[in-house]
Amino acid sequence: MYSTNAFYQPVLLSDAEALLPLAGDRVQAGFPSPAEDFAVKRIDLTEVLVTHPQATFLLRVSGESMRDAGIFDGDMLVVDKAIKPRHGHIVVAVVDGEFTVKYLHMRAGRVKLKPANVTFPEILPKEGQTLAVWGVVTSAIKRFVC
Amino acid sequence: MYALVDGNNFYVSCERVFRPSLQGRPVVVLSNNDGCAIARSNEAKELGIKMGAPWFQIKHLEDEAGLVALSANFTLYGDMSDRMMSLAAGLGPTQEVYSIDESFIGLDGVRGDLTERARKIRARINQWVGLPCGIGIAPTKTLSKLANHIAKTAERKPGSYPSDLAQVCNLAALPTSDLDAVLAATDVGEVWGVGPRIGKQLKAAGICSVLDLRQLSASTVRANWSVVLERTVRELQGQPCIGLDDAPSAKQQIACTRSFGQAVTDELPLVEAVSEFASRAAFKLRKQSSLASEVLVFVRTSPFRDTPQYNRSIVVPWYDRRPTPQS
Repeated sequence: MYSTNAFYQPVLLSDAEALLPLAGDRVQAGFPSPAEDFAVKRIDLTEVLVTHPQATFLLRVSGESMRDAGIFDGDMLVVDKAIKPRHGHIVVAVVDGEFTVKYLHMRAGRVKLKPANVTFPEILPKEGQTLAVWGVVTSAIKRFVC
Repeated sequence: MYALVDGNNFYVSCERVFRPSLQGRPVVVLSNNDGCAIARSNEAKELGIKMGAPWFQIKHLEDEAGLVALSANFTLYGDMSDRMMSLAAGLGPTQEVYSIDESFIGLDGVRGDLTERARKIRARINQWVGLPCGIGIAPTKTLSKLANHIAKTAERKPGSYPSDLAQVCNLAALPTSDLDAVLAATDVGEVWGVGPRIGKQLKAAGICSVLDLRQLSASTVRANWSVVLERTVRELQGQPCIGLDDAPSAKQQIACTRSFGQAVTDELPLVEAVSEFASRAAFKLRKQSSLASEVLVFVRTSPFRDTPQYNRSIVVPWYDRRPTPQS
C-alpha cells in the first residue's frame, strides 16, 4: 500500500561547519610561530594578470605571424578591451570580419598593423576602411607542460 | 528614479562579439537541440522570423537570404551577462538583475545629469564587453521599462520617435508636452503588465495609447479591471508603487526539460534522460534550500511532427514506509 499524500521528511545534515584548524589557532605547549605576524595574502595570478575584469578575455593564438614578439601558436593571450590602444601596443584587431594579432602602428596620422615575422605582410586599411581594434594584449601565457 | 538597462538582441550580440563577421547579417540563435529560434538579430526580424519559430520552418532562409543559425551557448551568455550587470551597477546605488539581459538600477541620491551618466555607462558596456544596450530612465519602474522600449525603437526605426531619444531615453527630462506626445505615439500593449488579453479589453474600451491609459483615474481602473492594473496606471502617472527586489524569491516550481535531437524509441534513453533531469532539478532545489512537495514527470511526442501524438504526465507516488500507528 502506498499513499500519494504522504512524503518523506528529509533527514537534516548537521548544521555545524567543518573548519580546518590553522596551525596558529591551536593552543600550544611549545613556541608560537615566528611567521604569525608576517602572514600575507598569497600571490593571486588573476589579480596580477587582470586589471579590468569585465573587459578581459582569454584568446588562443593560431599561426606564426607574431613569433618575433615571443607569441607562438597555441599561446593564450590576455586581452583587455578597456585599455585605449596606443602606438606600439600588441592588439587583437578585426580585419575583414576575422581576428588577427599584430603590433599597432599609429604615427603621423597613419594607422597600420605590423606582424612580428618577416615572412608576413603589413596590413593597411583599404580606401575608406577603418582598422577596428578589438582589444589590447596585456600578457601572453605559455604552457610548457599541460 | 529608476534606470532599466537592457541588452539589444542579447544572445545574438554575445555571439557577434567573438564573430564580428556576423554584424549586419540575419542571425538566429537556436534552442537546445536546435529546436527553435530563441534570439534574432534585427536583420532576421526583418525577414519575418518570429520569436520561437521552429528551425525546420525557417531553414530555407539559409540559402535564400544568407541566414546564419547558431546553437545556443548559455555558458557564454551567462558570463557576458555578469560582465554587463557588473558595469550597469555603476549607474546607481542599488540594482535588481531582472533577467539575463535586463537590470533595474535605483538612482536615489545620484547627482548630476542622469542622461549623460547613462550615455557614459552605455558606451563603457559597449567598449568593455562589446554589447550594445538601451537605457531607459524614469521616475517609476514601469515608466523606465517604457523609456527603454522607446530608446530601442528610436534607434532601430528612425522616425518612430525623436532621434535624441535613441539609445538612452530619459522621460523625466522631457517637457510635459513632449512626454505626452511620446506616450500618445506608443501602443498601450507596450506597457509592462499589459498583456494581449488586457490590451484587447483596453482597446475595446477606446484606450489605445499609453497616454490614454495614463489619463484614466486610478480608482476607475481598480473598479473596472484590477488592483494590479491600478498599480500600473499609478506608475505611469509617476507614483512609484513597485520597488527593487534585492533578492529573488525562491522558485515555487522548478523544471528541467529538453527535447531529444532525434526520435527515441527505446526505454533506456528515456530512463537516462529522466534520471539526469531529475538530478538537475534536485540540484536547483537544494541550491535554494527548499523541499519539494510534488514531483511530476512528463513525456510527449513532438508537436511539430505529423504523427500520432502522445502527451502524458504523472505525479510520482511516493511509498510511505513509516509504520502505521496501531489503533
